[in-house]
Amino acid sequence: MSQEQHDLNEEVSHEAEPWEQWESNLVKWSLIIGVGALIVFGALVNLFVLH
Amino acid sequence: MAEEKKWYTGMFSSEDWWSFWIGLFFVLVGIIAAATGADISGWVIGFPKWVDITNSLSPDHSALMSGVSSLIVSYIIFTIATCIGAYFMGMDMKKYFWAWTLIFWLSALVYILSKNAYIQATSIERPDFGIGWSLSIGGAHYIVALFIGLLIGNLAPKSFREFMYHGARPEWFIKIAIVFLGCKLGMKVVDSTGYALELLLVGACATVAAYLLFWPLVYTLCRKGFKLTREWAATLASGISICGVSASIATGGAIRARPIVPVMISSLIVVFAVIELVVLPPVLTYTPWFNEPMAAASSLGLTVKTDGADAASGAITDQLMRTRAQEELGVQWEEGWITSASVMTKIWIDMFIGVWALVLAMLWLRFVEKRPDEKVEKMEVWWRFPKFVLGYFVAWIAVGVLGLTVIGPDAMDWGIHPFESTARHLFFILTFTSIGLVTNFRKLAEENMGRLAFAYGLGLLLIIIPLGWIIAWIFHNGMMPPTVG
Repeated sequence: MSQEQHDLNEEVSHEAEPWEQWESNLVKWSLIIGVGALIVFGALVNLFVLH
Repeated sequence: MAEEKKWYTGMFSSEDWWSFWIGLFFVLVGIIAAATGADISGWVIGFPKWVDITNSLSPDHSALMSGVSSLIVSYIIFTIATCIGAYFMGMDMKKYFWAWTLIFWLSALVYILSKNAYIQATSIERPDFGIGWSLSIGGAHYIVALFIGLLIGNLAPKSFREFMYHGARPEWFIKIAIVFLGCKLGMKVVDSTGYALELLLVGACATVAAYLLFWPLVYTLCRKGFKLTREWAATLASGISICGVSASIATGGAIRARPIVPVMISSLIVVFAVIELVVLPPVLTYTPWFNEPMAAASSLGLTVKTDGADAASGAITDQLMRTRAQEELGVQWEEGWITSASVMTKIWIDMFIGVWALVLAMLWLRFVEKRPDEKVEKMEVWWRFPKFVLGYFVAWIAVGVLGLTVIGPDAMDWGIHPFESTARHLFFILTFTSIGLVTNFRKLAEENMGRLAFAYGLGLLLIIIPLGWIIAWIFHNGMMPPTVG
């Protein structure tokens, strides 16, 4: 087994860190802003550009 | 991370900057030709459809020289240009030169043979060629180039494959082609369609929404579903959500992941992008997506995760859809708009890499490395900014403004067409051959790549493609490519 494969096996198999609150916040706020952008930009584009 | 860097760092040593320099150099040649009337751009080799092979080559300005001379001149000029770039990027010049030479002539051969009228002519074109039947496979040259590249990249002896890697630079070639594509948008501004600006605007809106939805969903899938560590999850989420290889490398740097992490994710991205490149264009063309060609093209920008494969899949979809429209609807859509829609969405995504890398760097310093007082250099945004995108916009604005003012539309079209269209297609096919050469399916068989590949594949199937399709439709529904004439 090459050193690269050995490293990969170790790294991918390595036990994941516990999920933390800041990760929840990052995911939550990204989704909120993303959905907001989808609604606002989607409405504006459909009203003023596409039709 | 970036203490030694200046704003101009990499200007003469990075692939991105050399796409900018080479692309804009030829755009400048085209503009000078347009302004002076001196035919210094018409030598670029084109590959028309043919039934008599002596008609298979033609320079862009057909009266300038013979087809064979044009092919040789194009080889010499593009070899010099890319060799200068390769030299400054620190490549092994001897190996680059010979590998590039093989790739160029192999691509030219594939281009010539695949443009046979029995393979590519539409039913409407058949009488022009005096033939009674044809397969009507628009874009066959791209598919054949990819296939030949894949055969060599996966089945040739290892020493030969490794030699070919020296010249197979799909990202570089496609970035040069994308700078040329900027000229096309510039010409459309000259034509006063306004359509190009609409496309730019809706592409930007789609990107913002897609970006902020893709990343957190894939990150959560990797962390909670596949129990990956943060560095693997964040790098994979960026690779699959943003701009493939560049994003995974930028994220790896921003969160200080081990070098093996972005490297392994990048190999996954390239393999999956090739699968998408083969599967998605026919799926989009022969399903109800055909009725929404611009939305379909934009969805490619959101779902195919390398610049090369995205532009390449856009080019195939462009050919397939235009052929079907001509055959079934009797409508001739202008060439290049479907490709432009896929590229433009991708370009916006590329521009966000720097911003996202900065956000992740700040988060990792604060929450993972627990060093909240350390500042992240704001210039990271500039360093991570894809410079070929600058070239694309400079080409667009220069051709558009000069074509509208001092030079005039007809002269500009005459001068710039060899690069805006003919050279762009040449660099597309070089990209296809190179993508095949560097795609190694054996990577997927490596131990433990299976878990990452499964996470990547599932993220693509369950999150990126469905959401990308929805978002592309929301922002592009009803948009159709302009028709010829």
